[in-house]
Amino acid sequence: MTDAVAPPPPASAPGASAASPRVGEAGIALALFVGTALLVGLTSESVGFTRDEGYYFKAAEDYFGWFREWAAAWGRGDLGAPFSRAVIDRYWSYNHEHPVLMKALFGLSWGVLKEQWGLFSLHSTAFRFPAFLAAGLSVAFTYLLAREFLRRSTSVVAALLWLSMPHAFWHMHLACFDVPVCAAHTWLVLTYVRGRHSWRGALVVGIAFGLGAAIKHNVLIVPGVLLIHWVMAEGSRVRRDGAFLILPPVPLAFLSMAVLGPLVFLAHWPYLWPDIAARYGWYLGFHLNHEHYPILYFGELLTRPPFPHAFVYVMTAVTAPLALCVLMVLGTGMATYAGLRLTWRRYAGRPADEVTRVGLTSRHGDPTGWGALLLLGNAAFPFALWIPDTTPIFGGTKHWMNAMPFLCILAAWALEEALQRARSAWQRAAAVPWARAWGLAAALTVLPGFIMSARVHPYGLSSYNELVGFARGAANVGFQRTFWGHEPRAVLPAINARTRERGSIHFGDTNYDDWRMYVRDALLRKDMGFSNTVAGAAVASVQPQGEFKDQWMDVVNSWATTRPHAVVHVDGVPLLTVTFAP
Amino acid sequence: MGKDARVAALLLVPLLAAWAFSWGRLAAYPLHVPADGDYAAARAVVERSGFQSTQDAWAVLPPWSLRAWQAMGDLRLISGDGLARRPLHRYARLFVVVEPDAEPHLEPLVARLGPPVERVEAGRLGVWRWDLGGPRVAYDFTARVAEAAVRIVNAAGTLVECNQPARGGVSCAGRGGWQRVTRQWLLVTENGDEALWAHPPPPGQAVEIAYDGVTLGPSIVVRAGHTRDGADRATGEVRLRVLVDGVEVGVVRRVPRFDFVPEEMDTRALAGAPHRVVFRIETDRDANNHFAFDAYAVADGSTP
Repeated sequence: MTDAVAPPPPASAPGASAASPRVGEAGIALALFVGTALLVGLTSESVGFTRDEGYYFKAAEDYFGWFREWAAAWGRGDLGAPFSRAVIDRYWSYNHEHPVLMKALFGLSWGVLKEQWGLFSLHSTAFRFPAFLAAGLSVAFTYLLAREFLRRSTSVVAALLWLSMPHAFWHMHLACFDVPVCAAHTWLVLTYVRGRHSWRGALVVGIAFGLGAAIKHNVLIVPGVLLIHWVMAEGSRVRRDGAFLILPPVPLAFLSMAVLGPLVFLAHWPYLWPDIAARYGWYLGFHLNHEHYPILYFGELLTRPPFPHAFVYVMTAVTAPLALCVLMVLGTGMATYAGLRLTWRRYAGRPADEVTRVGLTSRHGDPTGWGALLLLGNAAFPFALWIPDTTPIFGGTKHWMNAMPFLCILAAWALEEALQRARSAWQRAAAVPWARAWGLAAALTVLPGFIMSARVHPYGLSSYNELVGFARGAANVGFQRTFWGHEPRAVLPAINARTRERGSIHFGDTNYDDWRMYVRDALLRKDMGFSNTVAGAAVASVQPQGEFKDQWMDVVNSWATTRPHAVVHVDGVPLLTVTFAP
Repeated sequence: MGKDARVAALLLVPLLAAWAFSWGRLAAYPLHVPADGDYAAARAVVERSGFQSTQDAWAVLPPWSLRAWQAMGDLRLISGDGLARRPLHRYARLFVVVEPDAEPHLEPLVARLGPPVERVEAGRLGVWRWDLGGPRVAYDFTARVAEAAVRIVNAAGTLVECNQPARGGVSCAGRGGWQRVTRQWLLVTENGDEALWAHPPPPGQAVEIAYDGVTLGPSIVVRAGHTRDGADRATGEVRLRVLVDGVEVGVVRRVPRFDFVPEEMDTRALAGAPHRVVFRIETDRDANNHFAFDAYAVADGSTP
């Protein structure tokens, strides 16, 4: 018995994609890149500064100082000065728990585009600008990776599904690493698909791996995932020749990732240069022993490991748009079946077959199971990191967000497979013009995410989906409403207007460096100070939920009031209270 | 049914259900969100009813909502957490500002108190009123903490007189800032409630809060428990003994748990005459034992 199906009809044939000119793809990818970067940039100024951004603004400015010093030293002919330990430590020591590619780009954007060329009015927007570009890249790379396996319009749907995810869209605005590393992970897999066997392609894979690691450590595991994929999808070609095992050609990409990756990583981070082993060891140790960030989950404040094992699945199921969730599950199921079937057939010495109407056959002739396993593996490992009981409690959905582009491709694949099957099965379905049916199905799937994003913007981190009843339903169930201290931006004008002269603000979860940036961008009055306590403040801006609720109680008790002057909310769910001292 | 049809059905049925559910919810959801003006309208309803902060109270459901606090927080409010099991002797009338999505919180309240005597719509809000027949409080230990004598004792007698003024009460000289008895809002419930902070001292010692000349009624109501932080980090049980004229009339035991539970102690035999009432709080493991309680003596009458 076989489940193999006949080749798919022309409309869905993956071969059709192979015939398409790459220039057309580049145009679409470019349009997605520019469109996304513009959309994110134009919607960014209402998004407040997150805690991490405060640290990265400061780090970026420090790092830009090194570039300035470098230019000055070389200008006076002192070629070695910028590379002395003293100079490196002066500029690169701050925030050395993360590699510096994005922070250096934030700094260069600020130093060149804002300070030298005056292209931006706000310092913060200049720092964030590279993140907008990375957001555009993440969408373009999702399209291009999908395009390796699927036809053009399905690939566009995959890219738009990624862009439509409210949490992802919100993260795209930030001068942080989470969306950039999604772009890097997707790019790395794309380069692997395209160039794993050629020297030139393999070089790009190695560089992509190094640059990805230079953004954030999420991609460090990807080579292992690719190796497992290779063993499952191609490893069965191992043959015995007498006493020797004859291996199938191991993709050059692995050699490149092993050699070029570390070199690129090392080259990008001056802080490591004076003492590579000790400083790299510290960096790894920091992330292996990460502190815990409390998070509310079904009314329980998780403060220490182990996470509930369902945590990542539940949080995805209540934050990703529902139709996308369903398609992710269906696509994952299809990929599991196609992938394991390929592995089984390969190891049984049988030829690969096609089990879906819409194939994931690559341009290089790899069968559907090959692409399915590849996408599945890269979608699965960010979730798998939450299996060990020792994984630190840091609950944001961003921590497994790099799985989403791959899941969106699988979702788009499942959507097209469903429609193609219906078209083949039912005459009435076949009578509906394909473009109209596909367009309607795509719109029904993609639009809810955009609507949800538009409704909650600029508080996308507080977005929950239809399944749980959006933000209000999530508050009732007891999920985290917000974190990262980004909420006050909308009420800064009111704070400026009412706070007494030279009064200080108690900023809750919003940190000192964020306060500095608000003042620097003239969003907060310059005479206003920063107070660590409610008692010394003239105004308090605190998040009345999760681990910050104590600060709200401090306000109530210190100032004997149960009447905040403003409540920042999403759909009535409070994210922030602003109270002025009596 | 052919294979294509089976597979199509397998894929399309959940997808069609998701689309229908998703778009239906997206369309209906805006109706669940109150407008700013609704809260002003709710306040007007409460004020028209002759709300008196000395004997009435209001709460909002769901209890996490704070927009009503912004509009009405100057009126006497009580936490919406656990409203259905909270003793209500202190109040003549209870007003509840009911937001959309409050059903899970509202149903147990209605089950306990019955239907409200009045329900008024204020935009997307409802203002529900229950007449409780109160107040029926003979002595409010929480509200009158300033009249109490507080001290740390051990088997040998008094160790420290706690008479240093602190916001909402007193602290104990020479002890950490946590060793105090203060009336304040605390996270003894999910969204906070007003109670007396009374962290137990080290083992072998107890904090005593003594009230003289208390006229008792048929019972003393005590709500007691740990803050969320205490529930997470403490390890020792707290014992709160209630002594009337030196005789124990009840003891509340609380292992670290996030649950501010009420209990009622029978004082019918002592009703009508003035007494000395002492709350004695102790533990065998004091570290992180962030403990609080709320107490009053019930006056004669029916219990709401």
